[in-house]
Amino acid sequence: MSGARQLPCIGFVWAQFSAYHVDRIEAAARQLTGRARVLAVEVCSRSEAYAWAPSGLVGGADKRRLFPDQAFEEVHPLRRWWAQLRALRGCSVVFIGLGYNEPDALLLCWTLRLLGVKVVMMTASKWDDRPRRTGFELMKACLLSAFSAALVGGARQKAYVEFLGFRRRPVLVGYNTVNTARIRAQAAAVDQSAPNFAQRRFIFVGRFVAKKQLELMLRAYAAYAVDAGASAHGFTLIGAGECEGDLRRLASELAICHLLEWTGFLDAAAISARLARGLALVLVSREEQWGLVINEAVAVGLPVIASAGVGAREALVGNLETGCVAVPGSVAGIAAALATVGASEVSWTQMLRASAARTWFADSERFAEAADLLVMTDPSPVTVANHARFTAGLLPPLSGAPD
Amino acid sequence: MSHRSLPRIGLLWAQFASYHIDRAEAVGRRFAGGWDVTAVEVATASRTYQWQPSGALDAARKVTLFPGQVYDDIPWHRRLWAQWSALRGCRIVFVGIGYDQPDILCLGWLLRLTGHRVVMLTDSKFDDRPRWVLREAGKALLLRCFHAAIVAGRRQRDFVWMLGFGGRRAILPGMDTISVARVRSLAQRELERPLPFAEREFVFVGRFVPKKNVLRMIEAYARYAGQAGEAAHGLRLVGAGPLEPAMRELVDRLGIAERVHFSGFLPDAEVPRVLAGALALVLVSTEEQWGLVINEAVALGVPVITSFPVGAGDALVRSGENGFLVEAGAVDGIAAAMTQAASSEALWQRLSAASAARGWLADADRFADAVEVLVDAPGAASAAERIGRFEQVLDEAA
Repeated sequence: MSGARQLPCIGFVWAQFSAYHVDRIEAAARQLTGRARVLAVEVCSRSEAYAWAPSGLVGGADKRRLFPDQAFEEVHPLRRWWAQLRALRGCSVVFIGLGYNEPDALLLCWTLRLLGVKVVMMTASKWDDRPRRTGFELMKACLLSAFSAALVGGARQKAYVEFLGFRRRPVLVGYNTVNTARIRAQAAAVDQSAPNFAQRRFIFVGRFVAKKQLELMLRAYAAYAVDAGASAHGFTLIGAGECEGDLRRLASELAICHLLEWTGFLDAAAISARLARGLALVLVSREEQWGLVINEAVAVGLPVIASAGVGAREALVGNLETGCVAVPGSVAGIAAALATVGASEVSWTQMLRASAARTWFADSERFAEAADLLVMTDPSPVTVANHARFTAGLLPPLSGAPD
Repeated sequence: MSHRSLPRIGLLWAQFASYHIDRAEAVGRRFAGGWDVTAVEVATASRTYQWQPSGALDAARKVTLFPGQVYDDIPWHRRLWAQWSALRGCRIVFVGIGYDQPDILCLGWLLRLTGHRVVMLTDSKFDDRPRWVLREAGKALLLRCFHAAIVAGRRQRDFVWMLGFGGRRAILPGMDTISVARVRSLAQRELERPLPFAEREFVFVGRFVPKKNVLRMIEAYARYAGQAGEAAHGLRLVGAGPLEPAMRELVDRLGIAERVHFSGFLPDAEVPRVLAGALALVLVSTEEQWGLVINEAVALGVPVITSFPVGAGDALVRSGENGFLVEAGAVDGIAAAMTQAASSEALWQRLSAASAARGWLADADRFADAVEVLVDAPGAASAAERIGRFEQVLDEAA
């Protein structure tokens, strides 16, 4: 038996791999080199929810795709569960990134646990994502009791998971991260030009669906454009979705068509390039568990205008520091945020620098360090120190002694 | 019709501060002639708050169950008996004491089982402290005695919804409100002769305790003052508490003693006069169910710099419109908000006007609206319309 075979095997499973998932697995594989083997399990190559391009190889890890060329939703949950179990039962620890609303995720967790495998939940859910009822949450907590630990996005996700009973089980932050070096490299490879301040545009990236509040965003942008007059920055909308027709009609009514650019779906490299040459990313969703596009914006040092409900807010967006935080339902508030970022090159440059300084917090190395701390007994002092720094930056300050 | 023959509304709080008086008066005025409003104060003092003993009410009947005594020193079974005796004649009782007190849950169930309508008043929210679903599920069962809840704002509404309210157990906003007219009348002189922009200071009002994040606020102020130089506005700290020595030491160490002024604890009547001359109220707590001093600032048209954990921010502060929302842990963010608020008189005027425009949401009449709807009084339809407007504002932040 080879040396690599004798190493413990750490499994990661997601429904479908996007570039973000590959970033995290590769970071974990680098982090665990020589101490563990990494098995990356992708259930299907596509899904009805996400139009990601099929993933390629995952550096440093053994990648297995269980149902090639099939959509996740097309495969029966029992078939998915059985295939996942067969692929992962030899692991000593399995990180499950499928939502626990999927029956196969819960079944997999319980069966692996009964087989003696340590199971870690990966989640970006937070309490304020939707209305909650104690009865339902109590049932959920019982079902999730098979997980040994959790790897979550940030402060609100940690509070929610602890609410669900992870009180004595470890809960570490670092789940929602991307490879910031990859994003910068992609941006540079596509286009290295740096437009001047006046030419830079606000950018939205995402699906055109109701929860993203694009209608409200366009109304706020129209209000901003009226106030800013000839100096108004343009707005680029990257993505597509069911609301596009309505949005185009609204843009016409608001007389802002000449300021808007509709690119449709772009690949990851093109998005990175657009972000690198933008004025600010705008993401004012009513409900957003995290918003990984904010990590991408931070990776290229772009200021961010986000709504308070966006999960990445505490970690990556500082109001008036790295961008602006707006009330999600307030047209005037969002317009004020657009004006704050777009008004002065001096303050925009300060925000740009502050946003770039948060890059370390957006990086998938933080995911790898958290995974290391959860599975290995011999993390390096650097890993421990980095995770402590990351935690201190992400979690809200404690008030100290009780008053 | 004598008081005795009118149907009775009961309002219960542990100890009356001026804002409890505001709410009781607002309810009393709203129901004048049709209902007897009885405001029950359990004790004159408590170990938590240094409020002065409350005076008489004009529009409602006031009963103090244990005059001259401290709330925390009275055994819970004695409080329960006294509360029950005072309130059992009411048709509907609004309970404004925390459900962590055993007498309150007993009282709620006693009233419920004897055919009274019982309404919970609360400003608790999910993010106030670490929560555990099992405890919350137990709490939800215990709170089944309440027919409805009047809550402070959006996060409080979501929290009590989780605890089983909603639907037939109505949830209405309006609990954390004050009399805007009272606050404005206390500061009438300052409002008539407003301080020039250049002389205005940032003002903090509250206890000097860790959760108020006062040390980080002072650090942020020092950063702002360092950038602003000679033009920096001062910082006035109103209050007292165990952190005062550490705050004074920090102020000295940061070399800002000339610009930071400690006013000590001020009586309720004095606070609006200080606030009226403020450049902005700064309240960047790490944990704050509501923060009623924000209602006072809004009543006086003062911009507000506050942190996301502060509950009042959902309804009363719109970042960039009438103040700024910041992360409680972000010294640079708090400093940037101070810089922005002080950046120009024109901007400050806009922030100030937008703050004053939110006064309607801060007023105790919103509490009376909620009571009116729950009592189903003749004016309930227009009260419900006003509550709808209040909820629209809360939904903006959802």
